[in-house]
Amino acid sequence: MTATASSSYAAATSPPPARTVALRVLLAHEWRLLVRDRLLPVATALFAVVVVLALVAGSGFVRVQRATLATLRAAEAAQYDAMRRALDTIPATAAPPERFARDPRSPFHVGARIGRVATLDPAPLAVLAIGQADLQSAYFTVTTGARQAMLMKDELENPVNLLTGRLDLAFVLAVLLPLLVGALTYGLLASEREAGTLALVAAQPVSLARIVAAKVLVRAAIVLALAVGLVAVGLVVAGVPLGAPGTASLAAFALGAVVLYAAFWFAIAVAIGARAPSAAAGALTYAVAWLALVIVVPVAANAIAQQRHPAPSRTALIAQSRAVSAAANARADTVLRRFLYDHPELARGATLSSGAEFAARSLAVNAEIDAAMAPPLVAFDSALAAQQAIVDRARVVAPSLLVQAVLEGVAGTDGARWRAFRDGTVAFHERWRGAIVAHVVADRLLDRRAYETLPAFDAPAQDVAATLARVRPAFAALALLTVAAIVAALLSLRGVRAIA
Amino acid sequence: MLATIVRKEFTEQWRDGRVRLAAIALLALLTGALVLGRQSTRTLAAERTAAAAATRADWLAQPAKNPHSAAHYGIYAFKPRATLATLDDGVDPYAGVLTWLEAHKRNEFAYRPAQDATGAQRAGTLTAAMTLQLLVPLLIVVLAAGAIAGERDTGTLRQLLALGVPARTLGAGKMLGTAAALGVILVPAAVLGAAAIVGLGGDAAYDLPRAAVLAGCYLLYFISWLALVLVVSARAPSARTALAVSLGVWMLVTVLAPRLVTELARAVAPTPTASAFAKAVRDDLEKGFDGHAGQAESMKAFERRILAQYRVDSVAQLPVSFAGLALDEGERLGNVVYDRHFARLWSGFATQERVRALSGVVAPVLALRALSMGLAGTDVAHHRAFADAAERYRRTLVAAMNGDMTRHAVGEDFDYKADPALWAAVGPFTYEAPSLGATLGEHREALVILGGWALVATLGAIAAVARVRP
Repeated sequence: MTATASSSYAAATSPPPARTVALRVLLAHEWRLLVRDRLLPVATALFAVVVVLALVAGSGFVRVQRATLATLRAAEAAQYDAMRRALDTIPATAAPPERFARDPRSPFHVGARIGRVATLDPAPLAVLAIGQADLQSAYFTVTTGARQAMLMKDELENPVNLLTGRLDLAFVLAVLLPLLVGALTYGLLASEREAGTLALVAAQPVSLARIVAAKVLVRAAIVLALAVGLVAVGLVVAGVPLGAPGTASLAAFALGAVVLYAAFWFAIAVAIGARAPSAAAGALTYAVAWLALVIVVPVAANAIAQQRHPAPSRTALIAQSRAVSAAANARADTVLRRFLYDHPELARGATLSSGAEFAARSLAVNAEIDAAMAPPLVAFDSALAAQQAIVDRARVVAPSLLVQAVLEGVAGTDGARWRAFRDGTVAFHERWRGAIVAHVVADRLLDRRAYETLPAFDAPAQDVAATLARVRPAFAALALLTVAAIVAALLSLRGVRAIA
Repeated sequence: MLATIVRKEFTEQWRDGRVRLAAIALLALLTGALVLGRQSTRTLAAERTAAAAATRADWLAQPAKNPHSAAHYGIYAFKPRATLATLDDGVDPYAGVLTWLEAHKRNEFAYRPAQDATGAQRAGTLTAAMTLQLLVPLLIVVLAAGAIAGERDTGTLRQLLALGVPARTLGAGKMLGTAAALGVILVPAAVLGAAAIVGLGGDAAYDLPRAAVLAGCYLLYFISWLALVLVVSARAPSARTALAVSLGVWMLVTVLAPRLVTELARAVAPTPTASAFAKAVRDDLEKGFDGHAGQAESMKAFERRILAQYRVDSVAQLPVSFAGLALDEGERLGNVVYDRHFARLWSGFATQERVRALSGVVAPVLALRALSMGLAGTDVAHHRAFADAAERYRRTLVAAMNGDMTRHAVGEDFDYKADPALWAAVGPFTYEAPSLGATLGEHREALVILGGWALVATLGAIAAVARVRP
């Protein structure tokens, strides 16, 4: 920055009314200065490329997931069609199927081996954040088997990829966006001070806040053009159905959070820049602030949360479930008797055929195992909730976690939507087993009509109201934090000394 | 002369309150990471040893039953916690911790600890490795960015050169002085690291050489950064530019590059989805592949072959249990399919890791990270080694069950019940982790790249300083 450049403020502000003219001229002037700086094209081009790559990665992930789920559902439909057709070829006089027979008439075969697939479709805005979706399976195969085995299912992935994380928009916006803000803003005032032009600027009949506002506005326009404009265009290009109910408002929430987050970092940059003795010191302080807020606080919060509320041992769970299953099997006769006693509406015939009795016993034992294993499994959810409570408290000083919470919440990949899906799957598992048990205990074979009444899993759509309710606190906290940062920036501007 | 420069540089660095503060913060984080790491190693090692003993006890406590039922009951393999995972837990939170070894099937590893953590886990695990890989380079940037550019800014560079101080000596002095300032943090860090792994009950003869090589790798990494920042400092027009450029490089290389390379690696060798993988295995088992017949057809051929071999007309006339033989043959057919698909999966992961290591040419942290996880025993190669060992044990166990059935279940097949002594006839599962040589071989590219970085950056620093102009 040169003295001649800064002295143009004087020319611009001489005729009254100075204030209204000044801002426009100041903006134009800042823009000319920025464009001449070599850093701007490099930093913005790099950021734009990364945004595009993130859009590609996010939509690729969503595409693969949709294709996978579509294949699974098509396979299920084809299998049931084939079984229905097979039913028609079996004469009414045919002998009943054997105990283990792969016979479409056997409720045990259909219930325990075929089952249903429960799927979780990506939310409309899933492109925004891969989040936890690479760790959590988007489908479960529901049979009459034990619940724990049903849920023990992971997506395949190289663990180093999971450890490193994907280059999705949530990462780009939460982690890299502050760096772009810093690169454009770190020398805001300090460089003028170093060049000696700050005293000249301060001597003009324009307030320092106004000059800073002009500097920040130009830079914010560039940052938002990329972080909001380019992202919004990207969402449209990626085929996000913004017309779907609620999707547009969720998208607005996400982009609003990004605007707030960018404003937070601009305020931090100004607050640091106002007080920094040199541009170098300002850059360093900003980098340390970024490191502390974006990396250290989340990492430390997670470490403390895990230390305070460690999940129970998954390895110990194995021994426990084996013991439970051995006990249930050993008492199979009692278990079955009690099961039938508890469900008198099911037991129609006086005695069951041996095949039906075997099936009923196996189903009753599995139900018994699930009932016994439910409390220990709940302990995992409560540990996770307690951990989340600690992380939520830490979020108050970690704006990156807040913006990430909004983006992943809106994208439906923050884990909460998945847990609701898992719980829905568990409920469906009960329904499925109930339906199969009814046929087994009534010693009834499946016919075409029975096939129509077998329960099917309804893939849940994203619950817009619940999502908004979940992300609203994070959004509000982010807004508060941003306001606080802006106040801090204004306060620190008041004490700015023009001469180092 | 050199000693004077080193002393001046060192004193000046430590006079800076911010440097002292940064050093304290770094050591505090490192200590926290090591305490937590040590605690996890203790807990996890105890949990997994107990679980392994419990699953073995369950296996031995089976009543008299058909050997094939026992094979279906199976046993679990629990991945042991490596002692050096205290320093770098690598893929441990993201790779399953246990697998069920049962008849007919090679199962995936289940239960990734990260599933029982909040989303904040994805920002990174607080480990010594993370602290050293990410934060120490930042400290190096802070210490060294102004080393030469700062002297130029204040005009003292001209004076120094006018005094006849050789540029080379100046450069060496700056590097050693900064290194000495860094040493004030790194020496206690090394002591803390050593203290963290002592008394955890590991095999010292296995762990110590690895820890030493690990320390050497980190040293090469720090040297690379120090020399790189000096190059920037010597060439930048001002201390401000030197700092801005170094900070920019640090962010691009340590923050952006790893995720960018994940996308690159996945593009080069896409990971199959779990359902596509399972379907490919199922299809090969049912329909056969590359001239191998499907299971149903193969089993018919097998029956004909056995009847011909024993010169009998029906399986009832066989002097052995055909059910046992058939189970064994089914196992053999399945293993061919599993070997084929798992080899493909692992080789895809290996390609991804190779892409990562080679990207170390641009981002040295990727080369270091591969070595760090490898030496700590927490990389994909170690996970694979354990998974393969567990699979070999599964095959031994199932083969023992099928063999007993073949010999003793004549005429009874699935009604035959084996004596519980059979369960003890299969020894317990033991696992020997890969040797240091194997690990270094696995990561030879990363090692060459990291060494190359340290060498080239140091030579670059010497050249840049030699040509320095006031």
